[in-house]
Amino acid sequence: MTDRIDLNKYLPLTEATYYILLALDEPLHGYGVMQKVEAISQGAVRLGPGTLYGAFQSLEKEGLIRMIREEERRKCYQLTGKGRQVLAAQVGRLQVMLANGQAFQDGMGSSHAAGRMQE
Amino acid sequence: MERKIVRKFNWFWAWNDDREEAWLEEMSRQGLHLSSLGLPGFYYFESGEPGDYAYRLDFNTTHKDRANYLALFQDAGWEHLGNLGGWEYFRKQRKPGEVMEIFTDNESKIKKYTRLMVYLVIFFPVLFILVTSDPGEHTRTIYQIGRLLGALLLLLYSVALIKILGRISRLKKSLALEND
Repeated sequence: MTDRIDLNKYLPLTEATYYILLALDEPLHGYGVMQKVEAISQGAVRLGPGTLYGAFQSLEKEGLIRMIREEERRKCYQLTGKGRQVLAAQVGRLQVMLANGQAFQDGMGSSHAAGRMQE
Repeated sequence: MERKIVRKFNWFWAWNDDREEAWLEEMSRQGLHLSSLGLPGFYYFESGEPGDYAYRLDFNTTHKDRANYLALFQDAGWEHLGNLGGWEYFRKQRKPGEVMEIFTDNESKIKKYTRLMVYLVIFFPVLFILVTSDPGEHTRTIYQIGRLLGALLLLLYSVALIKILGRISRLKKSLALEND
């Protein structure tokens, strides 16, 4: 239970951070992350190099990603165990959000849907 | 078309980096493309065909990881033009479908101005001590001139900090609106 509280301080992730972490399921360098994020978000999230560089630095510092290797001045990063836990916790939150949103669209009360999710 | 180097002078304060970007873009539209940076305020342009370029400035004072930093910008299509006092100058030709910003969210824009502010704050105590210290026996003219310059710099730093803080708070406000 203490682990859970610890993970919550990283949440919610911004959309950019969420996609960067998803992309780093496999080792990738910066440009690879940019391309993958744009592809899997269907063009919704496009990262500038300044934003991505800063995100790499802070995510590495927080221990959510780590550098795997450096090839031709390009660092490759990958998720750490902690990074995977944070990502899983974020996905859990998103599932609740999505269930509530779908219930709203179906004309149900949002509390009803949230209650069902908890069971 | 003959290519030649044109030197121009223009002054931009640290909190007006977006105006500097806009000016460099306007110069490129007139066929003058930034080629290098001289002393503060001096810009060297190469004359050529007018072009539609985006110019972007980042503030970066970490040097140990610089090669990796520059490689990332290069991979994303940004040409590095030079560094001046911690400011990195980048350029990219505008094309449909290309990402034309180096910072694509408000959080990272806020971080850029925070880096700049931290850098300026470091000098603050030094200037403050210089200006407010008891002159004692040091009443020589050179010392008085130093104090006067220090006082002017202190004033300038204060204005800079207020302007940059204002900028950060405007970015934070628009961030709050986004999240609402």
